[in-house]
Amino acid sequence: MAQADKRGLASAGALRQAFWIDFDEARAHVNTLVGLAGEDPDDRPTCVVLVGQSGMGKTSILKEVGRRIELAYPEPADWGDARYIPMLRAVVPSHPTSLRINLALLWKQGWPLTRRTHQIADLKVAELLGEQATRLVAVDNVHAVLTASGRARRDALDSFRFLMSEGNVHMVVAGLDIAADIFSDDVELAYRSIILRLTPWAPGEPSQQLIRVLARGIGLSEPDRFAEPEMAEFIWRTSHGVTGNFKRLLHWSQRVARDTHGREHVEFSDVYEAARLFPCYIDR
Amino acid sequence: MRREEWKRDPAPLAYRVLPQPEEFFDSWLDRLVSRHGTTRGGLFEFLGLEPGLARLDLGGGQEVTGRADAGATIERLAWAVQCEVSVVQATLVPASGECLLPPRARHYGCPQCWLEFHLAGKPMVILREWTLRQSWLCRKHQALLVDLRDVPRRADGMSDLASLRRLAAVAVRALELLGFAEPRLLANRLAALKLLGQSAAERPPPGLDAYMREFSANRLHVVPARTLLLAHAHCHDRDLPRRFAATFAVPGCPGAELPRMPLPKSAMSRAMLAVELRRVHRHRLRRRYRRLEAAAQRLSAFSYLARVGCEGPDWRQRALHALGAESRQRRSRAEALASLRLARDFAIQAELRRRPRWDSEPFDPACWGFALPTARALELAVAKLEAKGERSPAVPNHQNSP
Repeated sequence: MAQADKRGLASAGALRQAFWIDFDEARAHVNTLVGLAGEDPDDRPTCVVLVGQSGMGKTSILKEVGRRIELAYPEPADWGDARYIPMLRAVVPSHPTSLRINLALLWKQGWPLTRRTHQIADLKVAELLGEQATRLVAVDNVHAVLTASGRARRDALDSFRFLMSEGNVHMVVAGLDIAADIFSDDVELAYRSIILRLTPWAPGEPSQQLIRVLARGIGLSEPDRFAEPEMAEFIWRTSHGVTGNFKRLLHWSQRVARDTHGREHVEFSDVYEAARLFPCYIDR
Repeated sequence: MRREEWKRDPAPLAYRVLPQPEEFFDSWLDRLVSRHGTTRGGLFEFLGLEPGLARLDLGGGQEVTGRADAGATIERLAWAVQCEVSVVQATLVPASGECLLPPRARHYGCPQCWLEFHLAGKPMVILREWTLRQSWLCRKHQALLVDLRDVPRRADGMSDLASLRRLAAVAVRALELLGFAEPRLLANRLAALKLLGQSAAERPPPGLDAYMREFSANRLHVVPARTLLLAHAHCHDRDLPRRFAATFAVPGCPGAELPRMPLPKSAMSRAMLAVELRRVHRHRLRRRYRRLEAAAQRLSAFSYLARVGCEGPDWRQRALHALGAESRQRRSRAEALASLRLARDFAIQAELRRRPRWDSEPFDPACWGFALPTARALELAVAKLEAKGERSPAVPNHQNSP
């Protein structure tokens, strides 16, 4: 059991390492965001819209940015009693409105919610941003705002604008491709924003390299076998070039081989069988 | 996202409010709650703890609460303010629950300490020792612990410093007239160290067990003037607290029938009690003056007779009668003081006269046994009375003397 845990940790570490080594585009985006955190907002903070398909690694990029910002900007020695959060990361809650987004941010900032919190939620978030020396606010799954009604959407965008202006802090919102147009209704936010896209993996050498690294990280036997052209092409076609799908397919191939056929060695038939488990609407 | 979803992912608190050295757990938790504008229940809910735990008295640790999850609660709170668990554990008092004041009565403290905290820019906290039922004295300032809720607050929520200074002066003055029994003060200190888990001695000194039986679980907290009563219980004359205990059926040792609820404030307010205690002090002072005056009379007679060299069987009676008549006419403390000064001078003269000039001269033990200690005692008495006379107005004397 302990060995399995250790192996799991090792594989997770290997995956993370492989991801950042091999994915130049993600690394460039991370550098952009870390550089943004180092810039003075100067009364006109920037809003970065990070978009890409589900599973392309937007959340991982945000986590990596948070880790690197913490390393780049350590807590000062004479810091007061406020918690030091150089990067604040939250996920857009269900039924996203201005209040609920602010409550989610407050929760992450460590402010207990009471019945009276809603009266001052936006002001309190802005106040804590200053006290906790936050340089970058990241809001994930921002495409959920688009599913809200027109009024709620407007409300959510207002909260973003207030946060950036009153908190005087840069912001990054991450979501699906459709979130690229999230600021189309708000000229002020649109003029402050830049868009970073995560494009799917191209067929050929980059995908083969990714498959090899993932297979090695998951712990499949003979990992180079999965990067051979025939199998790599099938995996790429089934995964649609999405990082998360590559990983899912390899993981479930291993499960099929182990659970269904009782062996550790993963064969092409197992990959094919695992691909059938995926919903067909992904193909559309 | 619903609150249940948030609960699964608690975050450290926005402000790292750390416990001060020797601060009690409740005091720290109150500051933490106040800093975050919430309640104890709200804070515990935010940290993913059972809200019911907020109603428990966690200051005594797991042994007192009897809850297995009390330790986990302490660990969670330490995580919430991002400090070591040992820092929070140091705020607990490892004594049994009976030795601690009830949670609602943990507001006694030293105003002078609070003044110092304020001047040093530190928060005004309740120290661990102040929450013990036997605590009544600030050892640092030799001041009586007072109800710190009496300190008025300004509009910004801060304590009014002028009131705090006044209260500090009162707390020091309250103990000035008392004559404390040193063994009991020592026992009080040792018992506090033992209850706070700081006792280094393996064998308890004699008398400590008896002291702890009498005071550790005392029930004097039912009255607002508990510290004043405890202070008198540590004096040579312990009649007042004994009478109080008898009147209100508050036994000195635990286990007997006890009042469950605090008495209403109208039963005996602190002001009323202070007046009563002051009256007892005056009575005690008057008694002491009378004794000293009698000594002065004897000494005066002795000195007078020694000076004039009278001899005869009734010289002592005659001299005492004459001085007694003179003494009865003195009606104030100032006059008594003047009498004492006179007696002191006589005693010094008598001592000087009777002191042998040469080693070969015969030694008269009767003179030394009487004049020298009396002169010293009178010197001290005069110095003490003069010092007290400067601080407090003259008290009418001899008005109620029998």
